[in-house]
Amino acid sequence: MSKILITPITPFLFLIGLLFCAPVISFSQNDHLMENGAVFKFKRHWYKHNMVYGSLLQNDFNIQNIETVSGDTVSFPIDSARKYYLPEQITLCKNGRYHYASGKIRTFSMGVSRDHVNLDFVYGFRINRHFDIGIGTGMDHNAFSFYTVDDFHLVNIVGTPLYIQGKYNLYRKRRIIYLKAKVGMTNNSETANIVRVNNGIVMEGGIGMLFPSRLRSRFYFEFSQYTSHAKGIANVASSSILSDVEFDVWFHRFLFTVGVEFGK
Amino acid sequence: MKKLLIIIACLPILFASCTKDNATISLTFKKGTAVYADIEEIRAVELVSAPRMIENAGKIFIGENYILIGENGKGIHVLDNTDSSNPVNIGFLQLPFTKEFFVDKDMIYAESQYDFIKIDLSDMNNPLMLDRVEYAFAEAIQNADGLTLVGFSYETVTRSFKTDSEEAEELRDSYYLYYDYNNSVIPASSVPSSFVGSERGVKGTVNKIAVYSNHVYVVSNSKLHTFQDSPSNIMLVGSTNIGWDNETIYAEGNHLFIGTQSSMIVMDVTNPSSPIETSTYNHPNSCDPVLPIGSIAYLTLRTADFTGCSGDENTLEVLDISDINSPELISTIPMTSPYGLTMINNKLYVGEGMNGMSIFDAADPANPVLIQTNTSIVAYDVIEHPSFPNRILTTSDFGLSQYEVNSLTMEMIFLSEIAY
Repeated sequence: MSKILITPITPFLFLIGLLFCAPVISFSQNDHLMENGAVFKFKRHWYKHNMVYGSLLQNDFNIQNIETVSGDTVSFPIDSARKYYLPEQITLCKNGRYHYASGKIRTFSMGVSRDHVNLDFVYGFRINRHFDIGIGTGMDHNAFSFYTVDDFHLVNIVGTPLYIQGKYNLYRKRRIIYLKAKVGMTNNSETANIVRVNNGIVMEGGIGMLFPSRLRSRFYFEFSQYTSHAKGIANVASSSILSDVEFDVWFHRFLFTVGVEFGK
Repeated sequence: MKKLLIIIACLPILFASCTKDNATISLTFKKGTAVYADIEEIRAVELVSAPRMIENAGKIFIGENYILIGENGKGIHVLDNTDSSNPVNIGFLQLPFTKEFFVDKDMIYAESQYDFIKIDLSDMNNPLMLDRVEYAFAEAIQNADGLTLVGFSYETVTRSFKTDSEEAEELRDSYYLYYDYNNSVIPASSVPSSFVGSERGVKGTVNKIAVYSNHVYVVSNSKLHTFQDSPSNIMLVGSTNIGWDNETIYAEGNHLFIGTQSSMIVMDVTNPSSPIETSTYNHPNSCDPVLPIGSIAYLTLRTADFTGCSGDENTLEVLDISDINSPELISTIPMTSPYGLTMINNKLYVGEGMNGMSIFDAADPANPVLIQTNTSIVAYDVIEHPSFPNRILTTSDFGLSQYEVNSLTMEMIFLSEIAY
């Protein structure tokens, strides 16, 4: 077999993806959002825990008044908070988990499909509660195959994509369901058996679900349709092929992606 | 929300067909284009014609006083070898599209497209066609004009096609892609095996035809055809499926040894009309003439790119066939590129193509010992002279050479060459 790059690990990565998903799926059941929700994280262990959240009743430079889920009103000086998220910055659930409503967002993700795996990093900005934009890069691996009379040939293409990405939040409650689109170019790499390969376009569109968290990180998963292009020459050893093989291939993949989003 | 989750859960099923490659590959391969003709006209061609130049030599047979050299797809050259130092081309047997023939007791048995032919060569100056079994190997394949498929013309082409196309599927099953007159692909499985691979003709004596007890056996790619032979005619008595990629056949005792690309099949011909498979010895994929002598069989396994020999073996295997039901490997001797082989005076000669010829001392047949490898000659096949035990003939891309071998020093003295 012509081994251009050995990466038949897609099923393995898929299993890892499922493991990632397990804690995500088991997240809390509280589906209610809090009006005027705010979160304060304290420097010291102060009010039951080191964090208090609820509806912000009063916000001035000194004293914050919050009505908690239990109905208590809590007042504290602002300078006792290590970090805080005000209503314009987050969307808060009653269990204290929240989404970022705006600001810088970074995501790390892994997508898998048949003969495909990709790892991605996106540096983005949440413009408002509906739109995200970002720029991303990472590693894409695609493979196509064909047979000759004496062998199975797997042609592996590894590329580094650079793309812009946009997200639109369709449903914004405890979970956010969003549409995603990205477009860019992938810098395909020559390997031992890839004599030459051109850079190609990469596109992806899909739908995903983002889960809230009390931490800076929150999990998400996506289903998307991915397309990329590669054109080049592969060195394929076969008794029936008398030359190198020129290829021109569009990879169409239905991806399952799991990832982690980080805010500030 | 629940509906949305259900829709999301169903997405993998809905979009499963969205994972595919739209891949076009462009590569160079051997293309066989169907040639159609009036088969009756071909059958009516006069058998004997004037001598002609040897252009594309194929099979070679050495008789007492003559040498037969196949001209791939055209016929057989007859050379008078009464004077070994000066063989004379005396005639040509016109057998269009023939690539396999065998000689036994001055009788030529030739495979010719659909037909099997028997020719009497007892008078080499006046060969005589004794019988022709029409459509012995396949039913006639005809085109819309009523012409019959008589063969394929081969060329090397570079083509582009999708990886899920018919061409790509065929490339999986065949070394060649076969095209009809209208340029549509013909599945290799539907091409009569007597037509397949005429471009892969082996120079030498590696046989697809064997004779045993008034019967003639012909191996095709997947079948063993059995003919009953009488002095004046031949008759097809049966065809048996025996697997794939059959390459050679050799009769020894009351057994047939059939070499395939992945095995050696032994068939019992105690009842010559009904060969029965006795045992199979499997080996890695390769091209493999087999030479059984007594209780030992020698098997050369060859691999080479672009020759239709897949795998990664280049060896001489020595097998114990004393129990014919269970051949056992005795030893494996590494070779460079072994082709044909023969045993003369306890010496095993193995042609190594462009890498020369290796000579083994086989006084102990189970343990052949390499004496020398003569790299100064090119030898695809090594042929024993039927009358002179110290004389051998070798085939190459350039011609048929005759040598006198000193049995003590194994020095080879060049006698003559028939260039082609």
